[in-house]
Amino acid sequence: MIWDKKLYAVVLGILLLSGCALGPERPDASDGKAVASGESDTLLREAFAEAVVLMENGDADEARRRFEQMAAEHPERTGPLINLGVLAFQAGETGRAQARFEEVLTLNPRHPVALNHLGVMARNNGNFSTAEQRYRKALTANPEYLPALLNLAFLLDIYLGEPDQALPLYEQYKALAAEPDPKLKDWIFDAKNRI
Amino acid sequence: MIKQPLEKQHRHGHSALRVSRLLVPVFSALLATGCQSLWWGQGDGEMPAARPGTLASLSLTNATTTSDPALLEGGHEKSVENAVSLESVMRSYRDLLPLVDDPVKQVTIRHRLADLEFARAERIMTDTAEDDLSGAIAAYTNLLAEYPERKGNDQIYYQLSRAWELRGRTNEQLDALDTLVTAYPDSDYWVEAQFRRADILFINGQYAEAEQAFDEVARAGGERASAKESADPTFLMNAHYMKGWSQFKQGDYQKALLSYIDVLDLIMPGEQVAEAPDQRYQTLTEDLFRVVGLSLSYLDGADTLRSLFRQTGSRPYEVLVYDRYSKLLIERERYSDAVDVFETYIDEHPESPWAPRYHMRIIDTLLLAGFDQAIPDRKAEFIERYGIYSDYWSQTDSETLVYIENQLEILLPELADRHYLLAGEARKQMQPGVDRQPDSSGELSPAAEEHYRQAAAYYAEFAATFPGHPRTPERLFLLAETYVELQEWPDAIQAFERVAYDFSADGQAPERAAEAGYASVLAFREYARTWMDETSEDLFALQEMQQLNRLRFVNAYPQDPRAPGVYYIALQRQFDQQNLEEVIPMVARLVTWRPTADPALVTEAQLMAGHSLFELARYGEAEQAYSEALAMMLPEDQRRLGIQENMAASVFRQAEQLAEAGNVDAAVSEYLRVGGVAPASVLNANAQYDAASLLVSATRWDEAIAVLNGFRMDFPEHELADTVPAKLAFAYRETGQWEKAGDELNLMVSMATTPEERRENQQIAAELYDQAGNDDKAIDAWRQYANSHPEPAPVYMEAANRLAELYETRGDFGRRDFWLNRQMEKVDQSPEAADDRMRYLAASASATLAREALANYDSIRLTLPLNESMIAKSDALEDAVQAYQKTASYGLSSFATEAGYQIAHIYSRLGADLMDSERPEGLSDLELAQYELLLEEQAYPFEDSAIDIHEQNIQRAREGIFDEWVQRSYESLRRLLPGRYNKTEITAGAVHDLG
Repeated sequence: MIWDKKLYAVVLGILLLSGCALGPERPDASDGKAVASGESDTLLREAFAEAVVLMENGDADEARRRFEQMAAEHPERTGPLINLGVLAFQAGETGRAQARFEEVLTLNPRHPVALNHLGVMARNNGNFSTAEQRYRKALTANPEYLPALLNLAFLLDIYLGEPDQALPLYEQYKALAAEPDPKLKDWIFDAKNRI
Repeated sequence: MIKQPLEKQHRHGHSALRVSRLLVPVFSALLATGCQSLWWGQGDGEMPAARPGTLASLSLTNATTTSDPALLEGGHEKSVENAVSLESVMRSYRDLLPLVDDPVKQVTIRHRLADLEFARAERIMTDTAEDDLSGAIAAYTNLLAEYPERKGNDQIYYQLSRAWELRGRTNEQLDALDTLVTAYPDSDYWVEAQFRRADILFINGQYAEAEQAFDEVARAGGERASAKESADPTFLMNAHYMKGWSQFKQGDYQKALLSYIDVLDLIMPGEQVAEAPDQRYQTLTEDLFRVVGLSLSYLDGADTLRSLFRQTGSRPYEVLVYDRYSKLLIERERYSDAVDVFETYIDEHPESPWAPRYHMRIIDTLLLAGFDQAIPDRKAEFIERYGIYSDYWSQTDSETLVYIENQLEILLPELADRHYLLAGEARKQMQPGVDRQPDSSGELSPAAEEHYRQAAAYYAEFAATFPGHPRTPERLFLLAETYVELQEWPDAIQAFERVAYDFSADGQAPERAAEAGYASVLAFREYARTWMDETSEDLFALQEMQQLNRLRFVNAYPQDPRAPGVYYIALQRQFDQQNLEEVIPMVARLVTWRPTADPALVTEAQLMAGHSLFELARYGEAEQAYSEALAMMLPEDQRRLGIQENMAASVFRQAEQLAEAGNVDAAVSEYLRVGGVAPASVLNANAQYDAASLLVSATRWDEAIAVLNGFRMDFPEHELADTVPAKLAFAYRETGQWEKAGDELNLMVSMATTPEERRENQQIAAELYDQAGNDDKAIDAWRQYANSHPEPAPVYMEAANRLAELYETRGDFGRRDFWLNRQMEKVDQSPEAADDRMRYLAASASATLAREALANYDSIRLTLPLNESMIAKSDALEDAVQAYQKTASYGLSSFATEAGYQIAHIYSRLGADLMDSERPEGLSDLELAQYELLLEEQAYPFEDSAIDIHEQNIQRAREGIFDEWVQRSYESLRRLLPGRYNKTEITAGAVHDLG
């Protein structure tokens, strides 16, 4: 199938090019290309959006299949890769998830979603300092990225035994989050008690 | 013209003379010839006076007178003897006489008539023996009387003397001759007349006068001869000869000899030595020699002869004089004198070609005389004087050399043989005297030795003189045997070798050549017995020569039945000299010798080949040689075992060579073949062992195991037997046969020489049993180990650990716990000495026990009455907690977190258990509520403790320890203290951004 698609794209490209050459009017090549890429981008976006829907609807297998296809066809795109990582993470396939997230980072080293996931996985493995670095990097890229913000607070609070450092992060989260965790108040309280 | 009649006349005259001289028969014949010649010569050339008396002279003087053709013719064509004719001539002269007026012519005719008358009377005398000479005598006498001064009267006297001679009237004849020689000293007839005169005087016994007369003839003859008209030498000879006789007759032998020498000088004037004089003078000469001999005999024989020629000087014919004299003496059986003559000649003429001949004549003479005893010395002398080593040999002429060689060819062997026999006799004579020494061991009497030396010298000289003589090899053989008798070994050897090898070049070897070759070998053997005192260097050189001698024999006469035996000795010599490369082909040659060599020798040779090949590291061939030797050896031969041993060694070495070359297959099979070749060989065990070692190093374990087990079974007492278990263990281990390997290690334990070795072996054995999965043996081994080796502690710990594991597997928890406790005790005794592994094992052991305590605690249910069950429960709690605390005390985080978690968990469970405990029956709701409140109060502190302990445990996470127990503590805390710990990380769902 993948080959079929590729073949289709190539054949199409050739037809388009030959069409240009054979056509009585000679439209500008760059215009044609822009038109073509614009068209395929739209198609890709549509396909991506479809896959995301599939993913959100719980059709993980189909979603993964599509994302994988897209990732192969458009290795420069982070979208299919990040979702493949998330799908693997959700499936408990931490090794595969980590590989996908690392891939994303090669395309976009400051990808907060990837960094956050990698942070969580590091924490699960007891690799706390790595987890802290990931979270902080995610926050550097996007200081308002809430998952990373809260996760960093948890890490400092109960894993690294630094409730004093966790406290401002909880506060920041409280300020930024539209709907903060209902237990946030207790957490801040407990942290304050242990300082 | 008148030559013939005259000759006739003279012949008659001679006949008369001969008759008259029968007195001296010895030389009558000589005289006859002498006279014949004399007359002949005289009539021919010495009488020119006769010519005037011939018809020719008459016709010259009387040219006008009628010639006498008839007479002339008669003289030419018919016999002048024709009486009629002679008479008619006389008649013619008589008729002529009255007619002649000239007185001179008349006298001439009368003289002629007288001569004719004499001729006629002479014929009648001859024919009828009637004396009719009166007319002629008268006619001559008348003429002399009538013309006493007439020239030519010398001739008339001469004729007259002849006439008287015919009549036998010697005195008248002598008178006529006396007158002639006295009155006519210049007459042509003088010499003859004087000779005739001397002759008559001699016959008359008037020797002094005769000598005088002969001397005058000789002198006149000599003068005349030297003057002109070559005097008839015969005539002169006779004069000297008769002079000698005259002297002889007078007893003056010395002078006579000188006269004879004069004669001989005339007969043989040349320089060359003649065996015999001129044929013409043979009789004369022989007579001469005879009279010389007589003269010498009257004098001092040989001494006289010597001084004679010293006086006269040497003469070429001198040898004939000696010769004839010697013959004369021998004829008269005067042998010693004859020998003296020969010796004198030899003394006087040592360089002469006759010297050797006369020497032989001496020997012949002695032989003839029967003086045998003197002969050998003479023969020896001959050899010395004329043999090849003499000065004479090199100087003489070839003809004489041939002569000498002919003599030597007989003399040398003869003398050599004689001395050889004499030596033998001398030895026999000595023998009875030396009874004390039965075999006399080569001791020769001086006499015997001297004879042998002589014999040797002659044999050697024969060979030197006749190197190519057909019998020279035979003489050399005898020479060699003589040297053997003398124990002159080098010379004997050399002579034998010459016989054996120097004559074969012609194609056909001498008859006893092979015999001689072998004799030389034997002589060398005897010679070798005398080498005791030689320096080693000389000895070696001699031995090498002896070796060459042997090889020469066998190479020249390989067919000789003794050749293989000699070759064997040569072979042995090479072997003794360690010329091993030589030995091998020699043995091969001996083995294939035709005729076949003695099998015993071949066997010994094969043994030498075997030893040599072995030394040369040609072990395969060595084995073959030994094998062949063994095949030929007698069954009872004591050396068989030794040779089998050698053979085994050969096989063994082949195996070693193959092993070195990396050819394992072949090497192993060769090693294993040692036993087959020589089952009893001491090498068999080593071979099997080496084969096994080779298999081990080639990692061919199964075969190695088989061979090693075979070795152990066959040679349990072998010194290497103790090393077998280690090898076998190794092989078993490599093939995964752990148990068997362990068994071998167990054997090694008992054989260990040091405690440490024993300990190690025990450890390995235990490990191997472990590996084999044989728990029984493993437990035995480990227990044995642990009980006997508390140190080194780390190994002890492993042993105890393994024992604990094995007992646990078996379900024997009591024993397991025992060994768990031993581990902990070990570390507790000296914690500072424990390493990480020991601490781990101790902690692990402790943890196991703690888990047991925990399980025990868990199994106690809180039942009514609570206080009772609570006691048991809290005791169990205490045990478990203590046990975990012990575990944690070893400082290993993995066990510490477990301990932490479990202790916390115990407390937390106690709280829960309290809450779950059996409620008393019959309580009202209120009472029950109060009871539960009470329980809660009781349980609460346990829960608190649990939280505290969990929180301590999770602090290890900050140290990087996030193991199962830390995580489980987090889990517990999430439940026990959710407000703080139940915090789940947030992750995003699907990402909508394509990126």
